[in-house]
Amino acid sequence: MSQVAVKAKVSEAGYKGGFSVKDVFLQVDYGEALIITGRSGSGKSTLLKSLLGLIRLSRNGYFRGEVIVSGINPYRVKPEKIFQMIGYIPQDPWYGVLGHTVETEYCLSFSVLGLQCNPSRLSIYGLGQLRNHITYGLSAGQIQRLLWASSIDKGGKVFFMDEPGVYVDEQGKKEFIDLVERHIENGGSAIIVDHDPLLWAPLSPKLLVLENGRTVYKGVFREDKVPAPPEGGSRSKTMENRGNNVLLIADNIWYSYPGQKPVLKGVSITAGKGEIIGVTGPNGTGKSTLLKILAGIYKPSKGTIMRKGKTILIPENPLLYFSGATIKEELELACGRYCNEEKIKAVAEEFGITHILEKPLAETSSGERRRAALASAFLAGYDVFLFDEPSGGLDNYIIKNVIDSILAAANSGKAVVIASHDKRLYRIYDKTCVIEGGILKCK
Amino acid sequence: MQIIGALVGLIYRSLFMSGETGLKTVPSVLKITLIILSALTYIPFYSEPYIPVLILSIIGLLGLNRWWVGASLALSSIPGIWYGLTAYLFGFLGFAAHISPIDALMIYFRTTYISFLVLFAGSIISPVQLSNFLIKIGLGDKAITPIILWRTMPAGLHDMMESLAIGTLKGEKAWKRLGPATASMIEYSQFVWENNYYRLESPLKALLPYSSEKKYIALVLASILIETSILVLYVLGIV
Repeated sequence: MSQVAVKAKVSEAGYKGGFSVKDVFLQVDYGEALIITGRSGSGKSTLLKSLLGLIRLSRNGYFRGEVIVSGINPYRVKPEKIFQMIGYIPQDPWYGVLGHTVETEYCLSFSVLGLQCNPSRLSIYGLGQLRNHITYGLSAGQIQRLLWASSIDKGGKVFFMDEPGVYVDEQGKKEFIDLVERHIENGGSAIIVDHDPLLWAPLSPKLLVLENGRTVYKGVFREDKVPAPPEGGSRSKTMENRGNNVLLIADNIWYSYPGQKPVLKGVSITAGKGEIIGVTGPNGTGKSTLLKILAGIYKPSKGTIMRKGKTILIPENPLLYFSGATIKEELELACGRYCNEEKIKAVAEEFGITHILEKPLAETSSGERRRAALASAFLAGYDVFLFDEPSGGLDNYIIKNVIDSILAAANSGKAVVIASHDKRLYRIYDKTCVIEGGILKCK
Repeated sequence: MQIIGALVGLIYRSLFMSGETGLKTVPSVLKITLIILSALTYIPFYSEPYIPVLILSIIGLLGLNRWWVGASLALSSIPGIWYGLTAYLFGFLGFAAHISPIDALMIYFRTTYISFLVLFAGSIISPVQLSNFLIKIGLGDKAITPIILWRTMPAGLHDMMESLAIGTLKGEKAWKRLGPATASMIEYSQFVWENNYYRLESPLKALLPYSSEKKYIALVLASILIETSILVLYVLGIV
């Protein structure tokens, strides 16, 4: 068998009349990992889809070049053949699920290959208790774990993963990196798109850095080629009494999904003017549920909530936030009738979305959609911001702007509650709350 | 906006809230028998249409859950109220024969029962059983269809509910939000197709695991026995 797992010569791939990746050449051998990184919108996911033969399925998608994965060309063979060779974890995990229950989703991949599945292995991935659970009730982190489980256990020599740990808690990330390391040691290979390549340093991977669809570095893993974690941004000295003027009070909140045990048990939380509160905790412990209750989307089984001023929630999947068909339309709606073009331009500049203002939302990347949703929310000027994983899919360059915007909002007297696993955000929290076993503890 | 959200929530709770548990795990032959007998039970209780509603509620309570009973009754009451009320008002206004409020109530119960039974049938379908059946008869390439339907319909509804709720937070009017909410469902199908292309385009070969739970089989057998007895007694002219 050849030592080459993936060999690609991408002359040009992308979307007709839109973004493209050009002149990317790469080779990954068995027993090797390649990390693809770069700024949000630099073409990482487009490249990964090109390698998988999926770009042709996207609206206006095209590919010119040649790709060989495990000795076969994914553009020319039967889908079943390529599915045997690979494991794929897409960037937005909720779009990667076909099964209506955890067990069914896990076993579908086996069924395609004519194999019997062993669902008891789900416990290895922290999903043992959720075998019969419906998949549309899972958190993004749990879905990501489920995709790992089916991709790894079904076999396949080459993994293609797009931000595979972005919604997963710290412990889960470590476990996953160990699993991938074992896969590499056993002669497999992996191509991983990640904004945080340092996570994968223990694998001594190859590194490919993209910028505007072009290769700017290709070679051994070098820390100096990796975008540095964000700096800058500080709290306003004029907000010494932040948190005193309360905008949101939730008292003794209990919540159960129909037919299930309580996910929140007597949770109390307050958010005051100028305060930034971080909510963290293992996957599936109710962080997103809490935000939806605070927003008023879910009604608690017990307990009271008091809100002062306008509250907004940006969900894990930012596509659900939008009202406009293009980013510009969305920003204009958010800005209101007394808004001017200059203000929209300034916000677009701040969030790095000026070049995609006219783009239909369906043709934007996951990171671009998230930035656009954040820009829209800040432009609309709410009093309480509830952000669910606001940094998912955002690189170290753009996250600095997002952090600055959150700080600016807080400094101007807004309250911000963030549910996230992203360590890059931890430093801006005034208060960190950990939710575990339905109990919330803040410090 | 809240009314649309509530309706979507009822459909979601009625049809898609549970996985492969409860009555879904019962063998298909028994489930089909139960549905046919439940449909026939309508005949002996034509003058007391609330009785079959009660029987089906009890089966639903024991075999599904109380949220299913609540949501399905609320949902099936919508056509019931519509037919009962319009029949009464049309009679009252002289457009049709006059009926009493009690007659209108009977129309409500009869219509509600039919809708309730349809929801019941929909709620106990097991996509896994359907899928396995298709694999067994050599239609492995179509076997993913029931599974994906039971995933995408509730996921789409779930996203739609969330999108509508966010629209409320943004202070938008319901009609303005329906466009983006529907668009998000269309985007969903495109992204799911892209990301699962290799699985969707490959036939299923091995049967998917499922296990029957004895207590639910016993419940269905008991229900079949009771409904058969009622029908036999009716045919014999005893009830």
